Amino acid sequence: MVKINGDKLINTTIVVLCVFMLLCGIRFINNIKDSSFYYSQDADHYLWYISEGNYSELPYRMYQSKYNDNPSEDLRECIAVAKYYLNTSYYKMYEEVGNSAKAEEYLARMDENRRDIGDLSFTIAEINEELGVDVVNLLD
Amino acid sequence: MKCIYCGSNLNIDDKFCSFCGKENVHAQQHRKDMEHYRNDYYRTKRVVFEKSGRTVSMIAKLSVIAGLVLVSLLLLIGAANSYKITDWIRRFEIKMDLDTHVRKLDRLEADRDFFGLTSYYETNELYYSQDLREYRAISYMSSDYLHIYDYTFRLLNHEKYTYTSPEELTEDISYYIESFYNRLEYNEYMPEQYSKIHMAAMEDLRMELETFIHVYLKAPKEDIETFKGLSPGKIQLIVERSVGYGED
Repeated sequence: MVKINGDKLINTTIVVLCVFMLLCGIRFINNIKDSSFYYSQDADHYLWYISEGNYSELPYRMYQSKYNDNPSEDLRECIAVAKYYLNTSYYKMYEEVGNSAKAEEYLARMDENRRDIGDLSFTIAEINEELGVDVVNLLD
Repeated sequence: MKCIYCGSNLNIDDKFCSFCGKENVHAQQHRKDMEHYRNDYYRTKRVVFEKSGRTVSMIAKLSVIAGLVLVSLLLLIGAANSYKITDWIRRFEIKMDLDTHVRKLDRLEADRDFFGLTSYYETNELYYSQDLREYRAISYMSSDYLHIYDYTFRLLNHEKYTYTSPEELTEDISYYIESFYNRLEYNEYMPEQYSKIHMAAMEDLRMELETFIHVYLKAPKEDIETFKGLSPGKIQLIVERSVGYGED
């Protein structure tokens, strides 16, 4: 019959419980963190959609992300592309229904976005083509 | 006591008899007895200390084990109820910045930046707060509009979105249109969400959405006017007919 050393058993129990408690703590912290599911804005996220030509998804992705107070240069340009798509779609919408005041308002916003787009300026023509809008002459 | 050899009186401290010079056997025995008692005392004392030390050590270790079990249980219960804990934490954080949130939401609503309003409301998880409940309806309606906007452009460019069929997209659009009009109905159980200011914003939101549906989904205005009260299935038929999907 094996004689169980009481002290060794207790010490082993303490070690096992410490590890168990640590695992419980990690699980608790992860559950708290995972309960918030909004993403922070990330330029690479936007650039993937831009590279695929999926401009229409940019506004939705922008609004589903937590606002970044201090965006990088790349992120600022990506957001400008998203806003350009959004504002161009509204410009077209108000143009078609004959609301020229609103159309002018969105045209001004498009101009502002165009200035912020920077190195992603190639997206302007693609967005205009996708939305069927010819604003080059209006903006220049 | 008396000397066993000469009978003279002796004290316990006398090692030898002062009269005959013989050893005081009583004192010798006394010293042996005292030595024995002293050794016994120290041995007993050591045993008591050892035993009580082991007992204290055992109690301390058992207390540590009990503490670890209790903390582990609390963490497990906490993990299982993490949403409730998060709820409490978020409410507290929102309450700390309540004025900022109210100012921001009022500004977004006044500017008719509906997408910005719903984004701010949802990404800051303001739905946890009872103090900001009045913005719930306009925020959720704006969220429906954002989904309609997103799915509409996916539908119009569906050749790029092979993972979702046009039928699924029109179904999703119809679902959000129905949800939008349901929320537009005045709810007497939530009067703060349907105050004059919010109703005016909702009306502008409705007009913007209907313009959007008319322009991009090509739905005639007379059909759009019937959306309120229609089921998602019927809305889907109208949408599909308007954009040219479904049966001819």
